[in-house]
Amino acid sequence: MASEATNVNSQSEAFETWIEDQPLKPPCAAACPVNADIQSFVSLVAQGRFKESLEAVRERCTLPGSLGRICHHPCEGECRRNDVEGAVNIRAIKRFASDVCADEPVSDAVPKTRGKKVAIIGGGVAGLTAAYDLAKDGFDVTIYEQNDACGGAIYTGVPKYRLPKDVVAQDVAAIESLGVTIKTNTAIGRDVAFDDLAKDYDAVLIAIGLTVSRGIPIPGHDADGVLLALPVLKEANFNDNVVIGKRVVVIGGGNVAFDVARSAKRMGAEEVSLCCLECEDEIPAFSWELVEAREEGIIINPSWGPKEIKVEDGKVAGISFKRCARVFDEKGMFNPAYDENEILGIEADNVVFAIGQGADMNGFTGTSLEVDERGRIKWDALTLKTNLPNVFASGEVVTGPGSAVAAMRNAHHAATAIERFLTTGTAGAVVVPEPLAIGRLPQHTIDAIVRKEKNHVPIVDPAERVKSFIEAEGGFDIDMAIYEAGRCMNCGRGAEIIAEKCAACLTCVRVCPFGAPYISEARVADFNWDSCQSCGICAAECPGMAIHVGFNDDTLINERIDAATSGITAFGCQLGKPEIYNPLSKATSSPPGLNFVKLMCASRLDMQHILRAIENGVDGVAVMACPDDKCRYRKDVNWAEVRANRAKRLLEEIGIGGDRVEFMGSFATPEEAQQAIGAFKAKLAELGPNPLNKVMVK
Amino acid sequence: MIVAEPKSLDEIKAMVDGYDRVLMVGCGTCVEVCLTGGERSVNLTATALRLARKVDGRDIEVGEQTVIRQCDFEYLDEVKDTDKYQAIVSLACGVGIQGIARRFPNTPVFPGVNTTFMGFNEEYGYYTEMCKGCGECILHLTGGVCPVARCAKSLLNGPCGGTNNGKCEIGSDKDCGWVLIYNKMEQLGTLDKFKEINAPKSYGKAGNIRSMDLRK
Repeated sequence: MASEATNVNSQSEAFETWIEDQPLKPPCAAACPVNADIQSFVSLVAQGRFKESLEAVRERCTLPGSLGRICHHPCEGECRRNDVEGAVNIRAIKRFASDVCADEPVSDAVPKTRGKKVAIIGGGVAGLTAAYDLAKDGFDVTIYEQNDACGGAIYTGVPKYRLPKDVVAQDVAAIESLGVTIKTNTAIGRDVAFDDLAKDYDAVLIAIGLTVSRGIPIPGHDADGVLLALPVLKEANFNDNVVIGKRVVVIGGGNVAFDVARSAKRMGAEEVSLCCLECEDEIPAFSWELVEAREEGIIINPSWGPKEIKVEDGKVAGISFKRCARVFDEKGMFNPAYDENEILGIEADNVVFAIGQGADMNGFTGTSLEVDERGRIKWDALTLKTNLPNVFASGEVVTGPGSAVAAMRNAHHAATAIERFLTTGTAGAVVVPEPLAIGRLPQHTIDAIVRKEKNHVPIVDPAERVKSFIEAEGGFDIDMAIYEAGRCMNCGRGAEIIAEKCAACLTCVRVCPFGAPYISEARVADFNWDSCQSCGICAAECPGMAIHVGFNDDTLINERIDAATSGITAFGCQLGKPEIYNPLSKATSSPPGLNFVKLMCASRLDMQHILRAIENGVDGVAVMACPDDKCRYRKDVNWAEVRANRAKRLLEEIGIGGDRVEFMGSFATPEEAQQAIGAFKAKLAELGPNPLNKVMVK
Repeated sequence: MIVAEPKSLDEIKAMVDGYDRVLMVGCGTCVEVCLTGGERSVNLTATALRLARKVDGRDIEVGEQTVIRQCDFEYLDEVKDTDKYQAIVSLACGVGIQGIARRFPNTPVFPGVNTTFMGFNEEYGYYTEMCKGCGECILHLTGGVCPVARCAKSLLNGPCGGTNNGKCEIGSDKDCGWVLIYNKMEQLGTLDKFKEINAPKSYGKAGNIRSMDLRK
């Protein structure tokens, strides 16, 4: 299970509550519906550890390639870099991690240690996510999917220009590789009886999504040429020869309506209009959809309600709209009011309804699953249970339409509920409190942060992209991804005081460029996480060794130092470039004879790190620090250089020789770095081996 | 605060030359604050000593401990496993080093730092001497600037003829204490008192073997 649940006594004996543990989070992760560990995967990309990054993404965001393209990225909206010069492009980094590892072998299956079987009906985002969690947890999971492949709405509905289908397949394959059995072309009610599943499996999850488009019974709705959104999108995705009329009117203002309108353009329609009840500001689709649709020449007509479809010879000839005066009433309920005097008429060959979807419950008719008077599954949002003891439901079929990542969130809860049920035999409520985020950046910290402009992904020119269903948005290359990942400020993952070792000496307060440390009322240093950037300057200066830095933990750094007992150990910024990307290992790696120890910033380098490397037997230590104008942190002092010089002096005193430490700048290219390393190697060759290596130690 | 500076590695190495197992003990108060005797200094000095001995072809085991203060027996009681070591190197001021020596009377104790002065922390890593512990404070007469500590000659009535545009004749980087006093008294509007002759101090109060008893 991705998140450990705590069993809490509830007031009702029959009813247990599991409250998921929610520590204070950085704003990105707090805003993420699945609370993905964004900083970790971003940092791993910054370090060139792409495969590890992808696994870190998948832990909560189970479909990284797909969501790396279509997620509406609320994380970026909350990124504290918005207050500096622009949010970190988190979605593009996630996509990069997936794309760069596209040819990786899939994971090994997880042993099915739990001895329980779970059937999941529907292989969409929710079903796949629950399958991931449950398979990871050792359950024997089978997905029943009615289409020829999994993915659900992101497979059949989301257009190829936003999400190529091989990307969905890549994400699905990774989940299948955990040992999940996927039965495609298998429809409930047609190929398998629901009641049999409920009997044969220890638990069943219904995650069938919303697969039926709705229309509106206005005059002319049954004419030839009146279409529904999902069948149009499905055709566009799977029929290469799909055609549509020259003039298309799409009714609806949600993301699906925009998908239809933009697909129609790519299917050859010359005039595409999108008409919706909502006024411009109320249009529910994401704002960038409006921008991109307009770029593609789609005419958006807000505040119009469909009145009548004009039919000639049984075929659509046009449609008229009445002015929509308001969509929601005073109580905020959907209750449109019209001004019938104002009419808009549009000539059209096709009218497409994209006004909402319902569930296809046909496979459950006459089974023991209870539905309400409107045909919806009777479901409890806290327990995620249906009327049947071992049958749960999750995703849009029960929550209603929403984003892919919201369905993913609900499915994580469902997996928790199922895991708890199968472990304890009792159904319980999964309560996930809204995570608390650390605060905004204080102005004095904003002022101290070095500006690093946001990297945008390339987008195909509108005139070009509407010609076909080629993917409109490109991804980052390695340099762009590493740069962009390096913009992450690691909010709330920085310095922590070990109070019992703190002498309140003020060193941290004095060396921090961001004003994060302060002396608390308890008369020890503490850190204002709103300001800390995790650079680690303080930790390497603290005379009491009383500071722990989350992402720059000494244990981790020492492990990396200990990887080498000969050659050169280099220390530097994780964004430095002495390395080469190796497509085989899906990571960047150092040239032979060089152990590059990456730090959040070279300023984190501690003299003891240098001594440790020398003690391990390396012949020399290179310290690579970015020039001040390239450093992601404002530097009043080049701490890496200061510490390299201190180490030189000490090594001279020790008798090992200060020349074994060399301070270098950072490098624009791996070639430059290798040249400098080559020169240092030659110097070390003259010095001979590390004296510690040739000495017989008693 | 008491300020100390690190001894050279050669000096420490020479002191422990006859030993194979030494314990290095840091002090978490004054000398930690002046970046000389805290846990980090213990770690670096111990590592350096170990490596230096390796280079010489003789291993040495160096234990590392840091206590809150070496000038209190209660904290010195926290120093553990001294029986495993042949000698102790103390990174504390002279007071703490003697504290260790008193607490562990059968173990040779060596100083790892030179205690230098009582000083002010001007900024990160920079300290200036402010007090000589003369036992008879006259800061109320000198605008809050100590002539004993900040005049090279500890003149009670200055400046001397060596004052040079606000600097001391012993070095152009050193302020003349009496110019500082003059400027401060001018700022306070008490220059009229500047011409009053300060009486000689009783240097008996600054003498050796001092103690203080507040128990009565």
